[in-house]
Amino acid sequence: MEVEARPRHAVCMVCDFFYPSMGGVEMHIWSLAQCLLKLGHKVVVVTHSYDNRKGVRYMQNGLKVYYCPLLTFYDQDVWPTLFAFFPLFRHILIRERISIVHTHQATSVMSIECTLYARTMGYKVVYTDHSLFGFADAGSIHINQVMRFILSDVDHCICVSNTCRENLALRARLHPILLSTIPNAVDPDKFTPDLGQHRRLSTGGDRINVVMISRLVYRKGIDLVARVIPMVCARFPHVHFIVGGDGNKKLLIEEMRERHQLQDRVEMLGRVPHSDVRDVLVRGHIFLNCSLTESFCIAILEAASCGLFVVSTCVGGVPEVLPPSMIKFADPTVESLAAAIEAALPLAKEVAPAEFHRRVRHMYNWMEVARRTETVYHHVREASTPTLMERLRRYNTVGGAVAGWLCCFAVSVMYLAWRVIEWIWPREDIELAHEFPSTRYIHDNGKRKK
Amino acid sequence: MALYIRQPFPDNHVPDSFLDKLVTNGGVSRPKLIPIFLGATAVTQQISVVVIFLMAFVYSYRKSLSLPLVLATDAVLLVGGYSLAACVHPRRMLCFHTLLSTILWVSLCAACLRIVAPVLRTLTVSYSDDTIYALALLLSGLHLVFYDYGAAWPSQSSSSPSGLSADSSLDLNVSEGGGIGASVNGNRPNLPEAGAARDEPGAAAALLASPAHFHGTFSLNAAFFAAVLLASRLESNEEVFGFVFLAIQLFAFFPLGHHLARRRSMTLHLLVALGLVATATCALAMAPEHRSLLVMYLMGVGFVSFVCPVWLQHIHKYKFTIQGPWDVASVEGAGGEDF
Repeated sequence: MEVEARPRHAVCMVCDFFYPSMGGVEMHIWSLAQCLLKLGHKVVVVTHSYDNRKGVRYMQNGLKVYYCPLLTFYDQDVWPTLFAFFPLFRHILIRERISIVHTHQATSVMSIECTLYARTMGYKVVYTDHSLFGFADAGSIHINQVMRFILSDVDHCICVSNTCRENLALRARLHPILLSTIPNAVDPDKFTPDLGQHRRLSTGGDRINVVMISRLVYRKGIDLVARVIPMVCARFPHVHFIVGGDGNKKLLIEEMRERHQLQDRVEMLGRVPHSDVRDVLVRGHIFLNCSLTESFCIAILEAASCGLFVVSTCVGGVPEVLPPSMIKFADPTVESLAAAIEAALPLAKEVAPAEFHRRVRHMYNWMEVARRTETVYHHVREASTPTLMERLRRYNTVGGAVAGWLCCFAVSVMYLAWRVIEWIWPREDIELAHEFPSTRYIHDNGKRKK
Repeated sequence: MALYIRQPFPDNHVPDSFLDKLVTNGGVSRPKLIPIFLGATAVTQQISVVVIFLMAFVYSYRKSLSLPLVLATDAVLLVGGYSLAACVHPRRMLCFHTLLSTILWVSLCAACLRIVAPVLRTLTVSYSDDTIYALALLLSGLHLVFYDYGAAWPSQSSSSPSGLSADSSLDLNVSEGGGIGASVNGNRPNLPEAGAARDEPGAAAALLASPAHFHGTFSLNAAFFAAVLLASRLESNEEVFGFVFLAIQLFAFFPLGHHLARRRSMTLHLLVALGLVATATCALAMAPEHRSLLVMYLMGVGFVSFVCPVWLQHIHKYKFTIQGPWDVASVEGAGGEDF
């Protein structure tokens, strides 16, 4: 079999954010894991427990998920544990015969800690960055410092867009050769256009729906949206808006709707479950994204896959995602956005949804992402494992006189902790887990479906 | 480099265009010295106000500042401040309604103060003098640290010194609020008097979100706490009344009048600052045993007004900023960031 011929990796994905929480990072890990399983690799996900979802769970195609007993404190992030999670994490890695640890997202405390644990134990670590950070605000300065420390000793980093890659290169002061750009993708089978609806537009009524689905928070540019909508509604009587999502800026849009008497033209849906997003998207002709910062923006990809013309602010990695014929860019100002929507109105009528869908399907798919990630894994496997001294030398470059030595101290203590843990719970005493026959399962399932 | 086209090179290929959108120190210009000097006067002035306040206590305590004199000063400051406001905003301040509501409000305030004066006087009897003085000094320091120095500086003016964060939203409430009541209750922008906040739709939300606003309130509270503590060391109820009323004038009304003056003209602002420094110097000079304090004060004023601005300009060359496509775009008039 071809699958057997390739070297098989046992990958442990670590992130605070995973199912049942839903978002860009969660979907990324899930889709990537599923595709890696299909490629014949073994994938285990380590996350923290969600409500009563704790312990070990198997998900589709034998994806094993460890919901570890860690306490969350803010936005599904766990409290930093220093060494407390080390023994459990080590158990998991040994039990599952892991060869590569793959951590995700800068703001995930678990991935930061597990990167250090894994490096201490000599595992290969790949890190994927999903977000952009500035260099000026207090929060970013702190997280950048932490990232610089942690990432000074990982084998490879993956960024979801070229902008994200440039950003990470600056934040972690890494040589760009250590960073790969592997974009996100979209599941084209979940985001299919509704052909009947678009036929209605071309034959009859000239009503145009502008859809917007995002968290209603400052970073998604809701302040802009609240001012663009009345402007567009005043100029074009046939344009209607559908706004999905929830957040602390929801009030702003509701207020706007009241003040401008637009109740019949601006539909507010509240939180839209991920499974219903497609059904909302296909009601529209134009998708509006007003984000103020975005490293990749899967939302516009999903919309384009459903056959919507996209109007978006030109920020972060957004301009890299779609070709100019499918998207209209605007500056993050009210006037520019209104002008972009105006320019998009005639274009949206000419969109052939099936054609859009076909193009997106051709451009992005998770299998391709998994293959490119697999290349990174191959590459990482070949890399040599640095000695403790080599690692300390790397950490020492982190900062000035104090920071470098501080990092070295932390890493040394971590190393001692590892030796103590090895002594208390010897490696030989740890029972190995049974392997789920993913490859055979997927194979049999495929046959059964046929 | 587009992501929608499969590139012919490996994923970790470094193209020539790598980081070509990076801008370092974009929009950072070396600040001019004159605006920084002018900005520093706001700090000097507030230090002087605190010194005047403390010296007023010292003289009241030693009875060298007689009660009628304190009360007369209160009255003169009150009428003078209102007249100043009337000069700047004749239409708003000279209308009968505003005048009446201000008089009513001030009388109410004064009456309340007079009624609680005995309580204030005996409030800290069981504490030692040292505790009270130490606390009062500490609180005065906190007042100075948290004082909203930027409030008087319109943020849209380019002359606003970078060291002082000017916050226009606070400015709006404090200076435009019709009547003094709105400004004293600055932490409640939805008061009906806060006319400006009502006119500007987003202003109320912006006010609530503004951290500078909190600082202003905190600073004011610290000053009043100090005033109450010190007042409790005075002997008669009338003295307590006179002193606390003076503190209200110095810390609550004076900034209002000063903002108006600042808006009117820079010269007026400088004159006020100079007058305050002169008053504080005189107050310190009149107490011969506090000669060292006088020297310290003058040195402090010199440091803040002349050395610090030059220093700020000097260290500005170390400023290094990085900008690029990853920065969060800013939205004009948006009500703050959330995470």
